[in-house]
Amino acid sequence: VKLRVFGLPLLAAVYLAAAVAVRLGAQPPAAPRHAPSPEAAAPRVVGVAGCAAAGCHNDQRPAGSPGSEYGAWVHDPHGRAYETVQSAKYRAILDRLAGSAYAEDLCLKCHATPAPGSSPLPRELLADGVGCEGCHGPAEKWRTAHYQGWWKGLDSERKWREYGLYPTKDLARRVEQCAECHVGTADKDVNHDLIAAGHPRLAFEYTAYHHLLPRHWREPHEQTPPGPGARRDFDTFAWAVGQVVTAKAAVELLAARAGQANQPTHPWPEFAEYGCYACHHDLKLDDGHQSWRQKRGFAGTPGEWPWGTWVRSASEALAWSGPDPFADLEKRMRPPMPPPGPVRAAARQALDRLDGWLKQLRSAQPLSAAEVRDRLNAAVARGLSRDPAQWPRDWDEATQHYLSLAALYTALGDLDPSAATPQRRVLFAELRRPLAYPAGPAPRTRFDSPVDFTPEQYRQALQRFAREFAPGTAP
Amino acid sequence: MTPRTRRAWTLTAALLAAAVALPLAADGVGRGQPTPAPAGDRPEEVQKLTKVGFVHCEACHREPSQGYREQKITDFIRLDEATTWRQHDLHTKAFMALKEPLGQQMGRLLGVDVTRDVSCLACHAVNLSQELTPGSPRPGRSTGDFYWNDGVSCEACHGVAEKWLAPHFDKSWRTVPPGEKLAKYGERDMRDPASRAERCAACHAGNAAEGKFVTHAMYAAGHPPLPPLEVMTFSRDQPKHYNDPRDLPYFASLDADTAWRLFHYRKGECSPARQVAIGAAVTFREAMRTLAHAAAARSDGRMLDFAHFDCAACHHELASPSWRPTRGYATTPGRPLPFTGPTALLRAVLRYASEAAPGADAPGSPVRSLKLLAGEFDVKLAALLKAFSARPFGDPAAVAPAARDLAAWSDAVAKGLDALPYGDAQSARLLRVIAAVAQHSAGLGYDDAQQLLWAFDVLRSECPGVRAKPEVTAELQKLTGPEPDKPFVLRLRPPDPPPTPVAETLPGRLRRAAAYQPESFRQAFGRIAAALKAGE
Repeated sequence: VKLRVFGLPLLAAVYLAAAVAVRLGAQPPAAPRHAPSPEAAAPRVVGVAGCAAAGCHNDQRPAGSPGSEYGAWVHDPHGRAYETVQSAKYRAILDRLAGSAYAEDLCLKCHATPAPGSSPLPRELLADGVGCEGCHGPAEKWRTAHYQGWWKGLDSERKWREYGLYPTKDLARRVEQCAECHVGTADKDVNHDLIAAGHPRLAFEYTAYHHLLPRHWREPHEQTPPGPGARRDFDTFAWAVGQVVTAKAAVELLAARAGQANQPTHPWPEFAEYGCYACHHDLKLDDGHQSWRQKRGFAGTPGEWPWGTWVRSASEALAWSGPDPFADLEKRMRPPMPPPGPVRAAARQALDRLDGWLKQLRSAQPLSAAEVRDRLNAAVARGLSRDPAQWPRDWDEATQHYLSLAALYTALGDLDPSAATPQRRVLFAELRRPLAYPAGPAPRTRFDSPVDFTPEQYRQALQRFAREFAPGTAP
Repeated sequence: MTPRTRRAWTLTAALLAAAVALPLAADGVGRGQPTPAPAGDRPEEVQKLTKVGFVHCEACHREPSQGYREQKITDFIRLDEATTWRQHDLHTKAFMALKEPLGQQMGRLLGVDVTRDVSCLACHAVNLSQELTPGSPRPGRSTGDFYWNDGVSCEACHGVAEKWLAPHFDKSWRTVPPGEKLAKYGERDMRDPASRAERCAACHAGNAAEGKFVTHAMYAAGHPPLPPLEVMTFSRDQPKHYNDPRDLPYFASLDADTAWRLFHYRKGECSPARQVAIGAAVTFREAMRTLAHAAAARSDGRMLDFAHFDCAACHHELASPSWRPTRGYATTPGRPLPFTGPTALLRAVLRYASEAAPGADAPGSPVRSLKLLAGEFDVKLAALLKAFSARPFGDPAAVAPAARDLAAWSDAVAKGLDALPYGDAQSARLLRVIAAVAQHSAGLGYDDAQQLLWAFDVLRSECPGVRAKPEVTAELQKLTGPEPDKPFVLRLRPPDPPPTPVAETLPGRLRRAAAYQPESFRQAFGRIAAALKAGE
């Protein structure tokens, strides 16, 4: 304990001294002869301690203000990612996977700061969990450079290309970075084998995560005066970008899964592609003689699976022009044993169309308060006007709908503070209620599935919400 | 002619007359005849049948009249079989169920007429053309193959009566060996536990060769899950329309060899215990045969129907912490495993068989071969699990031989079990072994637990060698009952008529399965095992 108490200030003092020394001897950047790609150069990860000097990112200042980052980050769950893989629960997961093709180094790809290329992360940095460089990029090249006077003169693309500092201020790039772990990639794949062994399901929605995180930064529109690129409709923009980029990552992952179908760590079909609760529910009759699924009816053969309920459900709410990126993919994924080749082809088509959507998004003007209000009302009305037998198909779709309303409402409050009232927040809590996972079957347990959910209950809650919140939207 | 044989002849003549007259008198168009199907839809061999239907049986098997009693026919059979069946037996409603709301809901969701579809009629009616040729199973080809007036009636189990109806009126029929009755007349031997279990399992577990299989689409559309088959419990709660040979004077008069050869009865033993043991092996065998059949039909790589997988593997709410992952995984977690039907009772039976009295395992003895077979179970099962976890939904090419191997293995087990005695001491020991397996199996699946519990209870209720113990009864009462927090029922349904439709008992059944916690079941049987031991 003593060592830790003394260790940190000591380290901080060393870095402060070093920083001052470098500042005094400020030099123009030594221009690299060629711009090496970050991958080829494989810069080293330096560790959180390198950022947490008192004079740098560990100042005692209000959360969110520049210099206070480390103080906020110590509360960030990313910092406990490695602690998780030290736990008894984690050991139990490994035990269940014993004898399978899965190895422990797979876990460290997301439960520690990602080590670029093939250079292994030094053991002493594992305890940082997902440290600063997990998102900002390995700091070997930019650590010293980024507090030089000339640094601010570089554009973000150059900082990335030449120094490996990731452009997190670009929302789409930022979400891409989140999706690496929170959606997954070919070599960071939380598939159904791992979920069955005990890993939680991945269900990423950017704005929800954005607001749950103890944020160590302020968005441009939250700064006084507003920073460059500030947009008051931030939440609706971030929600839309988040949806498209998350969907892209999910479709890329699906293409990779199909590409490696039936390899030892790539089972096919991959159950994690489908709505969990289509299968994972107790067999029960909701009204004494029918389950809600039977009451609603089935699109194809009774008992078929819904593909991509989490990633494709908001596509309608995005309401961009152009063909539905997922239509063909959804058709291909419907049979229980989808053919990997055609799935990959359909995934490529979906990715092209999603790229088109992202371009449209980037070029669109920020929305006014009235426009956000219109979109919020439209989202409510769209839900209520759908055929009750078709919408919401399942918990995933209802939850994504709820999250879209929450993002639009947050943006509305930012644009027009009078629109956001405590009473309205209560209405959101009511709307959320049918989506809750209840307390578990035994003391000190909880359900990880929406045991009591029925689409009907969400529709009824949405009707109440519409009457109170957005009169006139109910059909 | 002695007065006795004269009476027999008179009776036979009277029965014959009744059998011929009654169908004609019933409603003009021959209630016993299959409902007319479109011309050309009914195969010729079915069109030719004249002695099909419950009505032929009811003529004599309605009640033990004074005359029958005087003839001492009631020393041999009860003669109220038809009445018991008509008033109490849910099989009477098998076809009607298709017309009820649940059946109609399934038809809507599946887009078929469930009252005409051969895959529904396979178990909800009698496939006459198949029953005409016992031993060569085949699915129904068209609606016209089926007879459904009386639901799943006598001939579904006993065999189409066309050829045996007349000869069986004669007392000499009692001396015809069962093998001949089947081969020459098409009557099945329901006294042989293996052959009875095979018939029950055909619908209650599945029989792919006969087209009897509840697909996942049918379940998703609303077909109730099939409760785990424990043949003796199902027989008792059907309810029984027969008496055990031990309670019938006729069998006391037989010598031991005749009783065994003709009626599969070892004098003095508790036949229900024999049925429990052999039923467990045959039920498993039939599940394996069905799986092997389906897997062989998919050698082209098409996946097996979801219904070939363990329902409970996927269908459960997710909870943490939960008992499920603590059981460990036989293979890579997350790969659906086969539906084998329950195996815990089979394990108990194997243990019972291989722990027989010292010296019983001399070379050539059934105990010795059962010991060897018992030792092979886990290896053979592991091969099946491996074939299923090779990839999600398994590799049918590897599943088929593994399932065939297990089917052959369980057939050998069933034959070995048939050679063992099931006296009072043995049935008491089987009961104790069942309790011990229930006590020592952590994380038992719901169907496994329910099947063990039924076997345990039916031995208590049917075998006089098993003494009632109030502590055991108290523990069973804590586990069972209609209350929502009780995870099991002891009786498949209340004994009083009329039988409750399945749709009405379904919500309770599903609720009980969801509320099941294996640890409390295990602990209850720990106390039961202790109580049984205390009295030894």
